[in-house]
Amino acid sequence: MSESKIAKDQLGRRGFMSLLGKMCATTAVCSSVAAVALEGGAAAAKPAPAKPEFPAAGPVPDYDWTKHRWAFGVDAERCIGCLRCVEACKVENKVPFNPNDFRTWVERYVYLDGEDKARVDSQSDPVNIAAAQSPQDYRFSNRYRDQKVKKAFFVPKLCNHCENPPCVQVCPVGATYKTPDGVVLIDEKYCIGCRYCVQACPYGARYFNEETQTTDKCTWCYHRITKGLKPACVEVCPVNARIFGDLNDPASDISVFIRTHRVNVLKAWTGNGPHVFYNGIDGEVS
Amino acid sequence: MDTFIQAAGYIASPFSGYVYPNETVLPWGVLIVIYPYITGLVAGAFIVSSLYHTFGMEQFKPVARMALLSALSFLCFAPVALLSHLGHPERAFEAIWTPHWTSAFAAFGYVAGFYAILLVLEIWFAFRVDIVAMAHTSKGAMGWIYRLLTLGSNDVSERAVAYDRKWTQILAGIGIASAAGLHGYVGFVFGSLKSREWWSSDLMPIIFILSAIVSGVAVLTLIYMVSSKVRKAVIDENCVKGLARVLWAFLIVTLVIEALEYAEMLYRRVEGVEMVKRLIAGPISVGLAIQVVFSGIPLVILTVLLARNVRGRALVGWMSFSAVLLMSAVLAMRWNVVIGGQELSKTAKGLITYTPPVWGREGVVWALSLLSGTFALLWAMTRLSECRNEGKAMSKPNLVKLGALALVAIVAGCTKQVSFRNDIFPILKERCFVCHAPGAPGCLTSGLSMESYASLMKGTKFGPMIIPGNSLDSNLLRLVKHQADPSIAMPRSPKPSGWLKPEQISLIETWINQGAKDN
Repeated sequence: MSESKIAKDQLGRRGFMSLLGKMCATTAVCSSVAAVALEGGAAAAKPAPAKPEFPAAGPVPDYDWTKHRWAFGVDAERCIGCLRCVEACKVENKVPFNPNDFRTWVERYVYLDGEDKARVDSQSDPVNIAAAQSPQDYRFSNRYRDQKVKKAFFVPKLCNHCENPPCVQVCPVGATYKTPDGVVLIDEKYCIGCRYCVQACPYGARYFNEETQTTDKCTWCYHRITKGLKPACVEVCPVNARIFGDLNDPASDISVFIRTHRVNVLKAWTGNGPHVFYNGIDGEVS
Repeated sequence: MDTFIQAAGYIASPFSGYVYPNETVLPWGVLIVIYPYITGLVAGAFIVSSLYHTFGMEQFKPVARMALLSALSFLCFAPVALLSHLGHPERAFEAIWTPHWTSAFAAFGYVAGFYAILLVLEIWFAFRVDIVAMAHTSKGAMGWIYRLLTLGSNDVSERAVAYDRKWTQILAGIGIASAAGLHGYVGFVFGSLKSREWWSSDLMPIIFILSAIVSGVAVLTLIYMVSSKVRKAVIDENCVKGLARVLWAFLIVTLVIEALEYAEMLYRRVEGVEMVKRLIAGPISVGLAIQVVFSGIPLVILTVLLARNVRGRALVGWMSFSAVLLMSAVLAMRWNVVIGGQELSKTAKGLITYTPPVWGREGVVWALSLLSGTFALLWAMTRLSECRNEGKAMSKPNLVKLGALALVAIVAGCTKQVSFRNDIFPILKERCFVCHAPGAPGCLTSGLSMESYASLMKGTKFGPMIIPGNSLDSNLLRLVKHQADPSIAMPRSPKPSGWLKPEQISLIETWINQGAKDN
């Protein structure tokens, strides 16, 4: 069974009711633009076909999720490790402010003179937390100040929104699913909190949210991208190290990035088909 | 570094090398260690009963029916471990109503359910004659229950009993496949994940089945010994010998396959093998030592017992000893697989060291309570079926007492009451009074005075800070956990070292969950 078909099954089961609910909420809020709401309502009211295809109107009004294929790029050559993306993500997505829950994080790879293995840390390393003084701030401490550094670079990490996501495969109830525009989402009203998906993700992109008692992860800021905005981390990046866009549009940032760089994906051997494309990392990064 | 993590009140486990930030909280704790352990006991106990019921090996007759009841009581508690692990147990049945078939978990409800029905049916056939007898002799409520249990089938003629036996045989036969299937399935849950080097193995289901049988036969041996002692019944030496043989054979095969698994992983030496070696030498070294030593000693003992044809008290004593060691060895093996797999980082560049909490949902006390619960239930069930037992029936008052004791122990173990006066108030006094005594700055700004239970429960002028029984919705806990905005998080200190200690926070949390009483 292909993953897209699985996602479709979930839609059939869950999609329509939640879609209706969200439509109603939208109608209430945007009563001034009644016409828009009416259009959305009409789309939702259409009888479901026997074998449900993705309806053009997804859960978001005025957004056709069958028309996009989102993808993400990371240019490690540009990243300066300022960690504004990490902070922006925590705020934007209400991620608990503690050092073990992240939708995105940044890794630092440092090759010291005379060493052939990289020393790796993230903002969650105790030394870096100590440097930041509080878990609400993120900082890479200048811990290699007194050593001779041969090579060093930063690598932003996030959910890879795989083509064949193993997290979606293992979810026993189908609470996590892949949308037709290529984003892996979690229905937190449906998640039973078994954490099998956390185990199955080889990238450590998922965490268990103690407050909601459900799993959480990066959505590429689905609430923003469906309104034509960029994900929060992309928005705040001061050096354009994070690139986001639509693969269906050859002129989009991501299409240009992939065309003009020799990009790589992480842990390709898993067969997951990750959709975050990296430039400027070496084999040590996994 | 570790001390800093602890001082900061982080719930993260200490780590070395590089691990993904989200990995420092283990998704699966002791409950998922206990869960495959209990299902393993089911499989093992069941196999022994099938040796008698299906293959007619007469020497296992004394334990055959006990084995069925043991399997059922273990099976009753296995889902409890899973359910109490879930973030939303109330949604658990979604996995049954609307299963997502690509998940290795999805069919679990069906497989376990099928197996449970099979087991109950077989028990009914195996015990029907006794139930009918009890229905005739018992009075009052118990009489009613037994009459209900007969399902109106009161025929105990030779023909009817032969019919019972035939069905028991068939069901036990199907049961062998289901028992192996159920446990192989549990192994598949781990073995099929490509994300974890330690789990990703084709041998995983086989190892799970084999070790399950070892632990199940061991626990059955122990139950047989103990129950015979308590009932002052004679222990059947032939039966014990038979158990020793089964145990010996399965133990050898298990050890060989496990050794192959390790050998293969180390010999293949794919990327990350260095970290695997460090895992073996580090976080799970004690667990592995228990696994190896506690399987090795019984192997020697069993070999000697069988080779020298030991009999009498020596046989019983050494068998009991081996059984205890083997049960511990398999429990250690479950720990090494479930926890060890998560201690080896997905980065292949680091290790995490996990120590389970004592209290709470994922705590050791709750896990042990579940384990002892299985035995309490077994006591209760043997009481219902005690009329025609293989040994002399134990007097009722004794059994009742034992059952009650076990239950009291469990309840006492689960609910250590946190006291407001002795546990909570001293923390508030030491850490919060500076600002939250009447007239102090914090009290003036927010209206929250912590001087007494009443004023604390009244909360701030914006509303209560504590919702009894619900720590998740209690703002006080959010603030002291520093999950809120830094401008209102408490105590006001930019440095984590100035915050409440994790054990203090967990005390407050437990106290609130226990109803935030003025005790």
